Amino acid sequence: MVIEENVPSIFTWFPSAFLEWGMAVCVFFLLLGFLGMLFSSLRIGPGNAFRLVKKTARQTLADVFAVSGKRVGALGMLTFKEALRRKVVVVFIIFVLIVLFAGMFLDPTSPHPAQLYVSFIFNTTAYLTIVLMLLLTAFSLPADFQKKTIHTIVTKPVRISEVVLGRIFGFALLGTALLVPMGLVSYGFVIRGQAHTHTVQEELRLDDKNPLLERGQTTTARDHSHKIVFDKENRVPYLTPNRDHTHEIRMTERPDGSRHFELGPPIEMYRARVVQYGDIGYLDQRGIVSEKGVNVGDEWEYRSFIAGNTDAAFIWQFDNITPSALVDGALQFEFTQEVFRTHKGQIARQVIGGFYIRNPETGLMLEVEIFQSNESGKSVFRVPRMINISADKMNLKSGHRNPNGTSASRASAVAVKIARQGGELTSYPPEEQLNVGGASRAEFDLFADFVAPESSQFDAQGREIKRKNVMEVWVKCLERGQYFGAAKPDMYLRHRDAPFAWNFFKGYLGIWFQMLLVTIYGVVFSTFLSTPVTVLATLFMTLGGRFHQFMAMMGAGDVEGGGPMEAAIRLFRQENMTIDLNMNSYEVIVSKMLDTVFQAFVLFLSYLVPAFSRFDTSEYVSQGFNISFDMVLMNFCTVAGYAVPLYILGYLCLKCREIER
Amino acid sequence: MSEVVVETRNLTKIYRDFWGRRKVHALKSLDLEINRGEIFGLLGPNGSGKTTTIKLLLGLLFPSEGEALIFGRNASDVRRNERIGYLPEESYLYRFLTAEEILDFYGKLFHIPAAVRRQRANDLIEMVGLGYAKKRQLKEYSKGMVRRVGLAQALINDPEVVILDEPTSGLDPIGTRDMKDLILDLKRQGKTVLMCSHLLADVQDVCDRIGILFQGELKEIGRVDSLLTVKDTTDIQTTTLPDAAVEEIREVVKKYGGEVKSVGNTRTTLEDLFLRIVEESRLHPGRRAHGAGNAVSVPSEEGTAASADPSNGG
Ligand SMILES: Nc1ncnc2c1ncn2[C@@H]1O[C@H](COP(=O)(O)OP(=O)(O)OP(=O)(O)O)[C@@H](O)[C@H]1O
Ligand SMILES: [Mg+2]
Repeated sequence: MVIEENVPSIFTWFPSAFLEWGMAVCVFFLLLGFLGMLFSSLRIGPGNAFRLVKKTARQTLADVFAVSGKRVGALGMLTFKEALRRKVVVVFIIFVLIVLFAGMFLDPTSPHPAQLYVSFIFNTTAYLTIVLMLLLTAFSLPADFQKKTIHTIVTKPVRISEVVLGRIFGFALLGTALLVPMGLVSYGFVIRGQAHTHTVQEELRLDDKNPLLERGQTTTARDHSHKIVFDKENRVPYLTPNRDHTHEIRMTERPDGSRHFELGPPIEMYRARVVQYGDIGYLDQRGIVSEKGVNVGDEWEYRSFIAGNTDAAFIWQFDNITPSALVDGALQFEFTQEVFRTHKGQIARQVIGGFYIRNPETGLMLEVEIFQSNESGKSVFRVPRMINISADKMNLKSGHRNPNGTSASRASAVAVKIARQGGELTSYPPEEQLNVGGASRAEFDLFADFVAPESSQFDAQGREIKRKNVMEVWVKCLERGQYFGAAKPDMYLRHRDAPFAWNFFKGYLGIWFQMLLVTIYGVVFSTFLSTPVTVLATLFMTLGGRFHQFMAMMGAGDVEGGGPMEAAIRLFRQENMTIDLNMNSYEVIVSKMLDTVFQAFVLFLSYLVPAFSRFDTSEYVSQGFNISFDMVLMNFCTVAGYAVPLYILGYLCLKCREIER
Repeated sequence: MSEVVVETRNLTKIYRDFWGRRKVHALKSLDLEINRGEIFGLLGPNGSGKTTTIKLLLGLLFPSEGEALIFGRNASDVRRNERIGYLPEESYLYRFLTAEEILDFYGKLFHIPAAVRRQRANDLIEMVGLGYAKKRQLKEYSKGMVRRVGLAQALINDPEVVILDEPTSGLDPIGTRDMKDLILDLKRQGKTVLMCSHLLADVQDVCDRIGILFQGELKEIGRVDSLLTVKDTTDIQTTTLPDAAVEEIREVVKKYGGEVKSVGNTRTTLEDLFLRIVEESRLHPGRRAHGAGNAVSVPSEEGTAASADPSNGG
């Protein structure tokens, strides 16, 4: 699996998000004020109602911002203490018990044990804390009302806003206090739970095919073993990865010539890949820029396909390609592809493709590698900083030949041709000048030759997007009748790994954000709803939040087949959902109108319900992808964006409520 | 000393149900003024609207009409609460805290500095006689003990106005006595006290003025001493006399055209007054009761109510 979402930089995201937020909040409170006015004018007449709403608005502004930290702290600590004395610690004990016995029910034969452990522990933590906060918040304020303990609070110089904030703060504190030890235990569980090592079982034997290699096997531990390959020439042993990890291996040679291998703990099991995505574009079979590739008949149109041995290509544009992206002196691209075969092709090998880099401004293009597709997964391409064509080093890899018959040394000349056929080049240096095919220039610098310091492009709306340090990456399928499929996140540039512990922490921050949101919703709902209704409402928000994307789509009217009424009509008439309904009939018009109302309601709802799944970053941790700092910041801003209006709403609800009842 | 501290103007409360239908007319245009330094007792049978009045004053309920002011400000101005102490009808306290913690907590809400807070909490715990149990959670306390914490809590901010809703309920005789002493002590310190109680003897002892509510209406209001002066009755109280002497006194009274109604221990006259007013209000609903004495009262709606006969007379 590839993590799909492309996280924009916080600087590009924030201004527009802030604007949208501000507008949504304004609309929400204006609506609230309007409704308030409507209802109170029924009771006290429009003039008085207007004055009342005005007064309430003024007081709200005063109360909401002029809170005393000391009082909020005292109320928060009260909440915290209450929960503690209600033996909330039991939840932590349950958690520890689950962790202790987890080993018994977690599949030991899983091919990805690290993923399993991480996602298990993250889910357990998240569900436990969320359910706990849901119940705690739903019970606390209503109980305060029922037992009338709130009477002794609000008759002190305590603002209602402080009561709301105090609750939120107290529960947030409690959640944090629970999550910190849970996080430590989880980290220990994930690392220690997979701790194991192997010993070398048997004497190494000479490889059948390669006289320079010796092979052997380790003992089985945790249901797997690794293969050892011993390079006789360099006298170094290698361990093949299995179950997403390998081990460090050390060899000591005794004077009698016997070798002793010592294996360390697992390495590369838990990592945090830092990846950078590019923007994808397509060339069709004739080499003309097109919006999409070919659909090979999948219903799920996630990946687009390109035909082999034509001019079709995937083009990814990466920006910010600077020497800081180099890992061990090279840019490392990882590519996940899907292969669609129209014929068996050659049985002995997989489908062959080409990987190229190109300067978007000059058009200079280089064939980096001809590769065999990998049915299961990933191909890795390394582009070194200094590129030496004549040495043939980089075009040949494990003996793959370009099936077009182009010799590897001429690859770049071919590549330039491809670039020209790309069609959208305005100018590029003449071939002679570069002399890529000849000898005069066989050496290229990756950054000087293939990265354009500045490049601009037009997006779908026709806006010009300027980017810095841009490089293009092309992939073509080189076999006739076969297809490659890829989507935007299938190609990424891999930077240096981030520390796993730090990523783990950021993953936990995701749970923390969810916990905060549940707490805030719970407290706010409990200001005007009874306990069971609060539980239901918060649950609705939490679960509904998981379908946020669908709700947003429905609200925007982007769901194919229309709203519920229209869909019902289609069902009745057995009409295909891609065909437009006949607009002349009466019931269609009415149902479209009803759907518009429904759509507005869903749109409204989609603003109330936060996209909970956005905060669930555990997948990044378990799949081994780094959670970018931008994303953490973004999620933080989002939580704050919900917290502020909800807090004000909670204040209003409590303020307008008679404490006595 | 005539600065008005607590004031209600035309204060009315109608309890409504969820759909806005009237359920109870709990308070009917109450006008009340309590001056600084005064101890005011609010009396009335169960369900007459005493607690409702107090909750309206404190902003726990919203008035249906009229205003309820303390220090001339209504409840939406929370700053005024800094100078108010409130002991609720029942002890609505957080049961999971200890006496010490609860006072510290309330102290924090008043922004009292830590050192002062600790000192005051200690003093108050000693004052209400709970020093031996201050480290125990309230849920382990008896009813009266919790009540005492409630009282300490009401005084944590050294308030200028103290509102006590049935302060002696649940207290043992010593506690009741201490409460009375405390209230008199507060008066000495110049504090204003508004209390309601069913223990009329105590009210009579401590209150400067009283008001009697019946079914949400103010039936009587005035100074205790003048309310209790029964002008057409003379009580004779002596040390115990032999029967012969009593006979002789009867003769003397008869000689002067009087009639001995009763001889014996004097009854609690506030109780008398209270029962009479309640009885009268029950017989003549909607009419301002006419108590004995020169009540400082607003004219009654039906003009004269003088004909009311003390039904529990003899
Ligand atoms: N929350 C409420 N909802 C509806 N009616 C109420 C509510 N609280 C009180 N009442 C009604 O208001 C009236 C006055 O009640 P209140 O509590 O003020 O009486 P009280 O004088 O304090 O009585 P007590 O001496 O028993 O404490 C009663 O008829 C009562 O039924
Ligand atoms: Mg009462």
